Amino acid sequence: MIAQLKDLDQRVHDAAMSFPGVVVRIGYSIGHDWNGDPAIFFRVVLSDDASRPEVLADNTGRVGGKLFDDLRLDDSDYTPYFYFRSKSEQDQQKDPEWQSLTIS
Amino acid sequence: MAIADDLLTLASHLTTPAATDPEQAWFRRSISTAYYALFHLLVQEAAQRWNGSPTARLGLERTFKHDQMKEVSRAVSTGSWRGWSTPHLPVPYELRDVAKSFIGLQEARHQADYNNEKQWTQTEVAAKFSDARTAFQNWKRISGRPVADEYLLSLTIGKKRE
Repeated sequence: MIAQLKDLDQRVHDAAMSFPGVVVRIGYSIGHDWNGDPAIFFRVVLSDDASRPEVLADNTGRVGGKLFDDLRLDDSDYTPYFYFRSKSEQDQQKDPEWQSLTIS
Repeated sequence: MAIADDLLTLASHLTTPAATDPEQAWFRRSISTAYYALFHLLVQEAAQRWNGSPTARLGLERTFKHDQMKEVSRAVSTGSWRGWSTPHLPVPYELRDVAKSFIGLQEARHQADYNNEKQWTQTEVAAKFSDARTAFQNWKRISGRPVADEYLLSLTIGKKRE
């Protein structure tokens, strides 16, 4: 996984581009989860339309599944975690962790 | 699975606080409740397969360890988990989804219960609830299959020794 970090930005970007009109931005950070295990945290900003209750579960499942498969997260020591917000929520919160691709 | 289903219903209710409700408190309890709904679903399913007395079954339910359940679920989600059958049983996508949801909900529950700096949004909370609901649906599709029983056994006693 560490060896793949150099192209992680590109892979995440490519995954985001696979969902036009659905994904606005995908950020991530690498650290440890609450149990102390290596983890990668994905923060996905969805369009407001894609965040509607009737389509949210389908969209989060597709985006999370794509990241899991394309980044070969099943073959990684890092446990992936996925969090989703709507664009209007992020515009209101202006949470810097959700603004861009980051490695911390 | 009355308590598990009831907890899932409560988690759904808590995703939509009224304007006068303390929003962050509701959101945090929704996430925590969604995790415990799935936790109790799996624990009760495992305990139901025990033929002992009701008292012994309650005792069994109290032995489940959250970190061990995460470790087993992580192995299932990555494809490294091995059950007890020879040859190994294939892991259906429904079981993999349950395992992934368990891991994600457990971490979110830790954040919701202990990280007071984090501000949750309605979409984040609704997404976590939908993960739990989908895990319930997927579990019902595979409950009773040998591979599901072996997963429950692993949750109970840990990963099989290689």
